[in-house]
Amino acid sequence: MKIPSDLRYTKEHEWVSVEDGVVTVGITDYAQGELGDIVFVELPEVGDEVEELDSFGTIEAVKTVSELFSPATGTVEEVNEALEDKPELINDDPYGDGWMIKIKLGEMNEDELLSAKDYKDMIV
Amino acid sequence: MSELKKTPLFEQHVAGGAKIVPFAGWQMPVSVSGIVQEHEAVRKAAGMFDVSHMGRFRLAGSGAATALDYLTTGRCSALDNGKFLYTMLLQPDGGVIDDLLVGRESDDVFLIVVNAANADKDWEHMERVCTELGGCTLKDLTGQLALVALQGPDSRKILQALLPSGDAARLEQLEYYRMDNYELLGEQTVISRTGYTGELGYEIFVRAGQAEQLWQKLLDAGVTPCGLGARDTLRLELGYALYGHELDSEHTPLEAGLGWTVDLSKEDFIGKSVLVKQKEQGISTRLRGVITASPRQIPRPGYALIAAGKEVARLVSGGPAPSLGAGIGTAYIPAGLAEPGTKLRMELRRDTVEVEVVRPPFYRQGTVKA
Repeated sequence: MKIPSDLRYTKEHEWVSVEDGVVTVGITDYAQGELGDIVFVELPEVGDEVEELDSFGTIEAVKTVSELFSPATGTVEEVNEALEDKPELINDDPYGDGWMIKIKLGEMNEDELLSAKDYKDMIV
Repeated sequence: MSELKKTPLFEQHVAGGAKIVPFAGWQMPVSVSGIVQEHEAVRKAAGMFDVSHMGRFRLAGSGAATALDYLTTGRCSALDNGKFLYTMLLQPDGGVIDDLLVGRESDDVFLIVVNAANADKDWEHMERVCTELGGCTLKDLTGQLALVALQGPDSRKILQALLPSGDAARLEQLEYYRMDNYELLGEQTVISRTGYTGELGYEIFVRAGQAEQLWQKLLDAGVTPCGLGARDTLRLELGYALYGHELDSEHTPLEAGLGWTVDLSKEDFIGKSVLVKQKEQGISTRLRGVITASPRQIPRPGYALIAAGKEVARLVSGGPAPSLGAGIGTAYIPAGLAEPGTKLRMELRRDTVEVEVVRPPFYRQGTVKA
């Protein structure tokens, strides 16, 4: 299971990367493995406002449906359109082609985010 | 909570990288290579399932056929030797205790396969009735036999390759819902042409000590190992009932659309009077399927069905249907709304979407009778 050390993580099994005031969000390798085959992701639209700790979408696997929670407050700047036809990218490459949304950062409580080491400790 | 049980194939599942979950008191594989891939392997080639968690009993004695006629909804006494029957154990009020397979091994010996989650309760119920009626003895075979379901259009030729030529020729003739003995891995083994996928398939009642060897031989033959996840998507596409979802103690087989398993011409059986009355008076809710317009709209158990702005039912099963490119589910729907073609709304992600009422099966291209 991969937990890249240059990313940070939420307790809801999302990964977060911050660059130039833009937050990129996806789900972790552990999360995709637990979910199994992902068949559908519902994501917000570009320009939508998202709130820290609020749901920003839904992810459906064969067996289950789960909410996705935003690590930050801000405006959705980009959505991974490829996931509409190929949700399996999240299974295949959760930290790369399986990214979900980019948020133009308003506010984010960085103290809530976990390091790779702390995330690993949480899931094992 | 007692410790979870392991089937004789548990180590094989772990070695194969299966994701293991607790299920009905057992540690079972839910997926191995991925549910959708496993599902497609069964529809197009061959997959195998460890179903050794299912309860297996043998009822033997001169009174066995009579006892089963009283215990179940079917006429077990009329079964030919080697034939299986899908039937129900009912409560006196007509609610379902379990759905099960009864196979006649010989005139006075029956093989019984029940759900893992209900095995203890079924055993107590059958044991009590058999003791009252007399003339038969119930024996538990669950621990000594493994059960491997080999399913898919290629399953016949794969299994034939493991049998001596005479037995392979006999397997070619084995009809749906029949069983026979075959020499497998050097031992006489019961193989039935039964399954839960809608495809051509067999269930192999292999001795527990030989299960790993059989599993390995099937792996070597290219069979895809499958878990409970694919077992569920495959059975739901066929509309096959799963106890705890389509069947429970609150609904009768008539409401569940399983009237064909009930023989009301039998003199007496547990639950009969309630079913006779229900048949006369009509049924107020019946089990139906619903199908969505898009694979992005996935019904789930517990989702509400809505008509004229009011909740009319909740789904008992639901999920994606990989072979159909849609979402499917089942629910007990009020009779007035149960006509196939009726359009209802289903709650979905804080909104509602249209679903169409259908009579299962959802998937009709299976090779089960090939």
